[in-house]
Amino acid sequence: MANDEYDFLFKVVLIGDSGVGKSNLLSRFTRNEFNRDSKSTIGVEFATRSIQVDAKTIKAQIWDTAGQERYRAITSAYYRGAVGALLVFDITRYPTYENVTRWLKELRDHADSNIVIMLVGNKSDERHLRAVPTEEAKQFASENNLSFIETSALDGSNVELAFQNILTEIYRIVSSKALDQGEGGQNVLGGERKVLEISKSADTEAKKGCC
Amino acid sequence: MSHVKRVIPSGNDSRQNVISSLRTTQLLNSKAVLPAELIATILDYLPIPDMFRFARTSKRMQEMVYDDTRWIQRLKIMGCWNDAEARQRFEEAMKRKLQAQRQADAARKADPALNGNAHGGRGAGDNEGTLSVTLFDAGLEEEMQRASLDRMVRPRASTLDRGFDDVTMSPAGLFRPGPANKLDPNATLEIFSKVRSIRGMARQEYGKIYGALAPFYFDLARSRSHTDPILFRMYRDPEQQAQMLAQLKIFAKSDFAIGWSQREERLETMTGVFENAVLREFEQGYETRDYDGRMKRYAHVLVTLNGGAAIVDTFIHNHPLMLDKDQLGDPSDCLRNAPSGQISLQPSHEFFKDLATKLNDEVSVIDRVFPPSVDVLLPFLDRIGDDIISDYITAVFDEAHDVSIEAYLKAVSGVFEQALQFAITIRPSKGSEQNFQEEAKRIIARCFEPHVDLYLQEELDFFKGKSAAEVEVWEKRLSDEEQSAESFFMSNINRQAVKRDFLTSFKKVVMMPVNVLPTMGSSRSTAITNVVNGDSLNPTSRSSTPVPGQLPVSPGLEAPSTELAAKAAIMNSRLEGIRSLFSIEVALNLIHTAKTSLERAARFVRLGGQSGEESREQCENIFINLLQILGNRHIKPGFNKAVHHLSEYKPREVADHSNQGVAPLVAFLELVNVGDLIQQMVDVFYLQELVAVHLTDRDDFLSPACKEKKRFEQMLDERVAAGLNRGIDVLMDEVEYICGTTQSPGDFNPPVGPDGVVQMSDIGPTETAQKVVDIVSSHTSMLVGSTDKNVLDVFNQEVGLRLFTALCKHLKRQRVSVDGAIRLISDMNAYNAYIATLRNKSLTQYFSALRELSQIYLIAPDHAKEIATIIADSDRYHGIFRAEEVYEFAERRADWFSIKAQVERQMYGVGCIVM
Repeated sequence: MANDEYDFLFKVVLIGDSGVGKSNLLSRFTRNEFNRDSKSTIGVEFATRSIQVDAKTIKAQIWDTAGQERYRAITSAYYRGAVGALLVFDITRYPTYENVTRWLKELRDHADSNIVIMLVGNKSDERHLRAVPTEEAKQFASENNLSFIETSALDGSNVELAFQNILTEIYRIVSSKALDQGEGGQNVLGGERKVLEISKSADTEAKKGCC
Repeated sequence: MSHVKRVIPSGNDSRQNVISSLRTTQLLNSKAVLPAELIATILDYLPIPDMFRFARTSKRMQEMVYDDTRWIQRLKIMGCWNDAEARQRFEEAMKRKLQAQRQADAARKADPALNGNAHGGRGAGDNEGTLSVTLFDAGLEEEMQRASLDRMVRPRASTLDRGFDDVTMSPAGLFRPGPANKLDPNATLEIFSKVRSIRGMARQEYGKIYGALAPFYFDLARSRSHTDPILFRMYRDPEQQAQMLAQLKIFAKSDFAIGWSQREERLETMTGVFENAVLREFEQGYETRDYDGRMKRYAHVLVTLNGGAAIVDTFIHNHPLMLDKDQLGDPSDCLRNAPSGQISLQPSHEFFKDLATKLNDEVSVIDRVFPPSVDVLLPFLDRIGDDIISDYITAVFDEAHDVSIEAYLKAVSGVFEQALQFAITIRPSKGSEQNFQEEAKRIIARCFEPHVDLYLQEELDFFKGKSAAEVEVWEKRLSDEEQSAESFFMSNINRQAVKRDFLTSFKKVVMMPVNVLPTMGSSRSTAITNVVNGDSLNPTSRSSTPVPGQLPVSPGLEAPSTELAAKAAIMNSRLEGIRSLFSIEVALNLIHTAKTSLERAARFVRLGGQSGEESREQCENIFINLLQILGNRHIKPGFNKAVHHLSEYKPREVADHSNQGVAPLVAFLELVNVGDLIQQMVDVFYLQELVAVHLTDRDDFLSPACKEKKRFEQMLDERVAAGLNRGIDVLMDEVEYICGTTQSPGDFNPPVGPDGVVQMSDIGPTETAQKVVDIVSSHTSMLVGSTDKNVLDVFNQEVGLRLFTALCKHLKRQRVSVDGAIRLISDMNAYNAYIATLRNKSLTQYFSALRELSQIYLIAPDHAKEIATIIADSDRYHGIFRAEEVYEFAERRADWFSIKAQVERQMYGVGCIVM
């Protein structure tokens, strides 16, 4: 929030089962904090952080959603306008990995079809408790055309990289699309509008396809 | 006696007359009936020779006369019977006997063994043997005793008789014809020291004493002039004469026979004549300062005679110190040498110093003249106390009282301290008891006793007056400044650290003794070391120490008190804002005055007894007064004023809101801080000045000081609570004001741009939310560390709840669009984050519910069904919102009218259809 100067504003959502560590991933990324006994998120939490890609300032507006089932009803609101999603599971709990399919379906239902999805296996520090083999997850990711990374919000490994990767990927797509549509020169400060525009068009398309 | 005598001749007559014989029988019977107790009592009054004549009349009478207890009684009266010694001797005798018996036993046991008598007879024989031995022993003992009695008694009895008879005869050959009883005059001199305490032998021991002293005694009783008695002729030395007279005096106590009073009186007169002669000699020696010669000799003589009370009196009475006491010092010097209205204790110090020096010289004289068995110094000191010190201090105090009360107070406690010092520096003489120091102090204390009551009263009045004046001065200054603009000061400093810092220096000062003896100053330490070394008060070391000028303020306090003053000044400048309410400076001054008074008064606690108790009570009274003045006159009005300011505050009427914080509330909270600081100061003061020196017992809940302190703390708490109540109102007014003025309608319902896209700025809490959180948290954090944790919890809880209500009210006035919901949720998250820092569980629940609630605005209008579900799901809100309330909030959606029908159908309609 400190600098309002940015070239692009991307909305990214964090989704996944309850307790996989979404909120701690966010706090690690935005404030470099980790809270061992954080409570489960109520509704939704927001945070922003800017990063540099190709000399462009990209501001990420990250929505940390509640993983609990009872918030499923309002999740649809979260996906609106989201250009990226981090689908988090807990490598020490196999069921959270199994549910990845369900989260993917939800994304397909509610979000933009062009949304960039990254599969994140969190809690990589707890190696001794690993229940989901890296290879299996990697396999699954490539099958579903997702990128995959293992992180640890506790020791901070790969957290930065995960966000960096997804934002870069989004940036590449957005900038190429903008080029396609011949609007590349006008990457003005209202970058968000551009994003929304793109996603909006995609959204309508998706909706058409849906209904 | 006469009765018995009359009976016996009548018995003789009865031989001629049958009737009279019958009568005799009767009379004899009646004689036999005369109870033994009566006879024993009569015997007590017989002269010794008569007693033995009586003993010859019959065996029974002899037994009665010879009865050991009779003689033990006499020995006891003379103080030469020792029960413990007697018991020891008796036990030793028993032990010896047992040993002998055991040996005999062993011998007997050996016998049958040697004889080879092995058939059961052994046990019986043994038994018999023991028994017989016991019997034999008892018998033997008795026999031995009887034999010894016979042996000892017969010649003794006759000796005694004859001795008595012989007294009138020639003094040379008079008694002790037998070689066993021959005592030379020198042995007679110490006859009492040779007496042994043996049960069964008391009569013999008494006999020895009687034999040695009775002749002198009866001779003395009969003589007419002091040259007559053989005593003075036989013993030429005054020492020996004194010794004999002293012994006779003791012996006279065992004289119960008729005429004892005359005999004793005679003895007294003789002793008096003798004593006067000796005293004359002593006085002559005194005049010529012949310490080691005549004075010493006659002092010893008189001490031997009767403990020397008379000679001690003479010595003290004729002492030069008593005769020219005016030379020691003029009481009015103390005032003459000081600036007007002040008192200098230097002259009184000189006075005590001189006195101590002279007295210590005297101690050596006393040691030379008197034997160590007599304590001359203490009575001497007693007299000095009565005649010299009392006169002097009374004069000083009277004059000081006339000059000013403060001078008087200083004089009393200062001179008292000096006098105690004086008592300590006096060297005990050889004859002094172990507790000489205490006795000396007691004498000093007695001199001061008449002054203590007045002093304590004056001290309390003085303190009351002074502290009241202090508060008044401050109030007056305040009313003068009333018109000047009040500037409130919001300190961002770390309050707790500053307070701790301040308190440490305060503690330092409190622990520092208030020096009420300006003139003694640093020399006190030297005096104490002197005492430790056993030296006398050394004038040279005294005079070498610099004498601080006649400062009204104690000089020893200078260093730390200036440090404290500096810190107080800093505090004061920091607390500029509450200057008009109450001042830490005034509190400090009050405490300081109390400390001075208290320490002065506390000196007298050492007096002990009633005065000590009274001064202890007075100390407590001073403390109580301190609290009352500090509490009721200073702090309470300050708090009342602050609370009044708070009630006056109306946020809407205040033009300038640029200031961080609500001015009167900040002032009040600072006030709470200062109040807490003062309370801690009082606490330190209480512990240091009253508890640490045992003036009061902190566990004694009945002690008035303790009660007053509790009341003071209660008053403070109650004021704080009352103010906080108002404070919360004011704070919430401010919050509502901020909400009402700064929240723009576009915050939660961002306008749709020209291209149909919502104009949404960056996410994050709105300005309003930030301001509200800032203002609330800045005020609540001001209380941290200055109030009781419970009070703080209650305060936070109340603030939180009121904030919650205010926010709900505020939310119901807003219109929230789906896009604006992000801002709203951000706001709610910000509030929630702040509330989480308070660590109050129930508050956290309230704000969680608020957060849950804010989610309903985020749901897209096309999911009206879900809105209905969420409204109805009361679990989400921890029971804090009912479905109806949530519904009310849902109505604040910007698109409510377009989705209302759908939601309501979902909420009410669907259920009906299913039914």
